[in-house]
Amino acid sequence: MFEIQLGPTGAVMMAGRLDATQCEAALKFLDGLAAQAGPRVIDLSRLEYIASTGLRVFLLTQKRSKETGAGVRLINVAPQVYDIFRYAGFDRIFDITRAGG
Amino acid sequence: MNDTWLIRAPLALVPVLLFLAVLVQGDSYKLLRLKTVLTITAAGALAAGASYAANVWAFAHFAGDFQSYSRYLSPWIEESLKAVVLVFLIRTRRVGLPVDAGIAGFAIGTGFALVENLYYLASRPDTALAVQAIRGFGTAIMHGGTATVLAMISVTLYERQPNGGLHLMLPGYLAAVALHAGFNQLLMRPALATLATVLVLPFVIYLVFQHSERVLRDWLDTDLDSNVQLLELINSGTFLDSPLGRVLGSLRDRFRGEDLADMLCLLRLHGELALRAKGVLLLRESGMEELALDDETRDKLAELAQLERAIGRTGMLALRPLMMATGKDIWQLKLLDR
Repeated sequence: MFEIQLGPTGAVMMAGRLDATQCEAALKFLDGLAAQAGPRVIDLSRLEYIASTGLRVFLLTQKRSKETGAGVRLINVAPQVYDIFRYAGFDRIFDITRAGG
Repeated sequence: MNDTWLIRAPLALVPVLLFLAVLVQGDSYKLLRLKTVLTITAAGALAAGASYAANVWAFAHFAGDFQSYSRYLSPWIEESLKAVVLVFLIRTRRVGLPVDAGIAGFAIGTGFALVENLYYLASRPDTALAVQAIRGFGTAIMHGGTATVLAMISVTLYERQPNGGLHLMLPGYLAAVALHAGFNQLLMRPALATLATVLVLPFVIYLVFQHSERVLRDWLDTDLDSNVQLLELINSGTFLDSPLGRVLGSLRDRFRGEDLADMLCLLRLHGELALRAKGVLLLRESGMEELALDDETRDKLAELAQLERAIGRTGMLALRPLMMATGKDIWQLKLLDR
């Protein structure tokens, strides 16, 4: 089960499991926000699991956002997901904040 | 340099270089840097120099004519010398997947073919234009193709037995010699040999590369999950109650307590570094700029080496069922180290 929607503050909210079956939908949703000005904020407080295909979604979004001079901010990242970003070395790619941090 | 040379040289040299460029460019994961490809190409050129000397010596001692020599003996010599470079690359884990091994193989063949064709251009300046075209599109691509076949077969076998002996190179070597000898058999009909090479080899190499990239992507997905699960188990403190933890526990009778502690540290470190390596591959795949190796990762690599020494060869062998030590598992850590 995976959900992606725009939250009341304008941040993208992701919840559930971001695996291979959900990546296309996630990428399509994020691409749809391409015109949005400023850094894209994604709240991952309810994201429980991320597979390598999910990491690709964030990398592609970051790449596309950078092209317009913006970037991706990942906020409230749950510890188990945060660790994956950190081990993969992506904490140096993204502006990332751990949940409770 | 006359005008004829200006036409002949590109015909003889450019096709194989173009083919190599397409392979390097087509690799989504950028497994081999351009500098490495150029170095390997230079090594292939050196192999061609050594091959010239070996062929001169061997032909002087050969009882038959040149045609028989080129059909039955020279392929063994030339493929052996190309294989020497590949043995070095595979044994030092500079290549570890069919894709990077294939590119490395083609680069060796390219270096080899460039020297050979330059020699022909210089020593036989009046040769017909068609002959140079055949050397450029036929012989040169054949040299790249046979080394690619040798590399891809060998690295696939080393994947299953990463510490296997040189005998694992034999099937690939025999396939390369067979292809090379087959091409030379058609020397009486060089246009046919060139047509067959140009039509068949690139197509086969393309299909194999596509398949290998899919396999690499699948491995990236499944192995990343395995690394994450292992780290979650270790970090949650429940590892020793898991099936993998029980395997480690079963080593208590054979190893000291401090050795087992080192083994657990090594498993964790290996998992962390494997994830880091996969991060590098994902970055390359998405076309993002790769970051320089950070101090933390460098320290971890040093610690991993220190732990491997402390655990020793017997301990590492005992750990193999836990670390899924295939060729790719070992190769991915080398990816960080270069």
